[in-house]
Amino acid sequence: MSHDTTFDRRQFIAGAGTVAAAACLPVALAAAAPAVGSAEARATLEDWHVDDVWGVYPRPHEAIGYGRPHGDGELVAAVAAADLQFLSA
Amino acid sequence: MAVDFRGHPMFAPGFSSPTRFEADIYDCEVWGEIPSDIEGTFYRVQCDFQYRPPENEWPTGFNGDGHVSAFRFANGSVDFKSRYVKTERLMAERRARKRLWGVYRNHFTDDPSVANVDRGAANTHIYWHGGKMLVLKEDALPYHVDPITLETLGRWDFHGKWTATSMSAHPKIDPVTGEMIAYGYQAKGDLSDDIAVYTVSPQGHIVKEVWLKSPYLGIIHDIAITQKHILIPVVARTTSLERLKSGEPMWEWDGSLPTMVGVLPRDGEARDVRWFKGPARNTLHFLNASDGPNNTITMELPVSDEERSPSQIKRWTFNLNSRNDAFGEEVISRSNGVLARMDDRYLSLPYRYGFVGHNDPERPYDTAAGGNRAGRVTNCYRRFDLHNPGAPESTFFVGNVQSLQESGFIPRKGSTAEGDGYVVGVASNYAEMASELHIVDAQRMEEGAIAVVKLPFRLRSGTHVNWFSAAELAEQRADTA
Repeated sequence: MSHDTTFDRRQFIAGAGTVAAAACLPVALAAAAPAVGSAEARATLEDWHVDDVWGVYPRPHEAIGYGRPHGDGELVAAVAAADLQFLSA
Repeated sequence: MAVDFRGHPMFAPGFSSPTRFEADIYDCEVWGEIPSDIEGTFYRVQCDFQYRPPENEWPTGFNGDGHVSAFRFANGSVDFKSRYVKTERLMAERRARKRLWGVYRNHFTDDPSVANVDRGAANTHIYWHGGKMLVLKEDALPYHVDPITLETLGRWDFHGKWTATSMSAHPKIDPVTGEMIAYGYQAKGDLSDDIAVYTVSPQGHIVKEVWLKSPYLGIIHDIAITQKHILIPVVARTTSLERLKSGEPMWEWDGSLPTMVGVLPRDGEARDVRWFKGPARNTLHFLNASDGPNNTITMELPVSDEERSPSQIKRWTFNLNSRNDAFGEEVISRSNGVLARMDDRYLSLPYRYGFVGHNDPERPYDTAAGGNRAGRVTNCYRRFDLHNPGAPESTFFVGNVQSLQESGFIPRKGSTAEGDGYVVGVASNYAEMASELHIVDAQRMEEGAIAVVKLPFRLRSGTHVNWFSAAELAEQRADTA
């Protein structure tokens, strides 16, 4: 199997910080934050739950809407022809 | 009937569904260079589920079966091992091939056949002390496992001297004396208001025991210690006999209750405890505390002001000279993670740095590759500086398809400077549906991971982690043999 892939995972990790993907981040934490050093209450978050304080974040019971099928073009291009049968469409 | 998790509200298909396997990997794949001075084992605990719990189970997932992972570092390589803790409850369920225990900490919902079986799940934290690797869950006595093979060796009651019915998952090990300060709450059984505080010698023997009464029946998930005091916060997550009889998991939030913090001198008795009082605060895990000038004590912790407000790092100050029962509160950091860790060589002592996960909404997230996490990712570790609150924080960004779990700290070999070492933690990689361990130089966090250990499978979200050096493991084994 060829290692000459178009999906270099090392590069993927190293370059992750520069990827300009659209962030889907609804939690505007900074906006209502008080000055550091004060004891003011911060804004209530619509999606915050008392159990988030346990530290499991994302919550374990929430589904992940995967957007990437296993047989997408990038991955298909990286595998040997004989292995294509193992990839879903 | 075979196991079937489909349709359970806690187990949406995907990364956080139960894993249910044990694994061994000899010589893990590593991207980057593992520093040769990292010698020891990074342990973590996750809640996994062998069987399907009741539909109204607490959605935190903290009633799963204890499952220990170990990343063993030597000579720049890493071996991985994971094992279930073979608790009495897990083995009883395996024999029955079905779930026998009900919802979180509610024995009214258990199958009658297990009324006399230990309910401990050993699923929260792991500590090496007194020559025993203790795996802890706060409503029962710990189990101990072999630190190398992870095979379960049995329940541990400290040579028969632990008289409480439970031991919390958050004992504290004094780096100066080597003592472990441990405690149990609801210490005479479910719903009792008793707290038992123990001092355990470095060799694993109980040398002091103090029994207290809790101001109310609130959760006491963690404590903090200084060189002179033990701080025991009781927070507004409460329960009752009526609630348990209704069939619900143990805890419910009640923001009308105060936060109470007991300050017990380490050399004192029950009559010496002093309770401070403040407004309800949503918090469970405490970073550290230390004795200050003029009979003050400071304690730093992640805390939310209200049930639904985000977490930040605060300092609580207790003045033992004061005549009232209030304590001071100030913000140290806006980092919003709720699990903060430190260089544990400075636990109970004056210190400067804390490390905490953080959700930075300004960082990119690749929804095409990683799925729609809707911003619910811990995408950074941050180091905050207690000497400079508000100063820009050193930050490690894990990447645009990952979410980090609790970090641990590995001191750099030969260095005694606080914070000189490595921050390590497991990340869930949603694009690859696999987990990876990131190793970050604590002095250069912006530069990214210096090594990433790639696992060929996913681990569920972990509860807590601890690092123990090869020298620590070897010394205590010899010392307590």
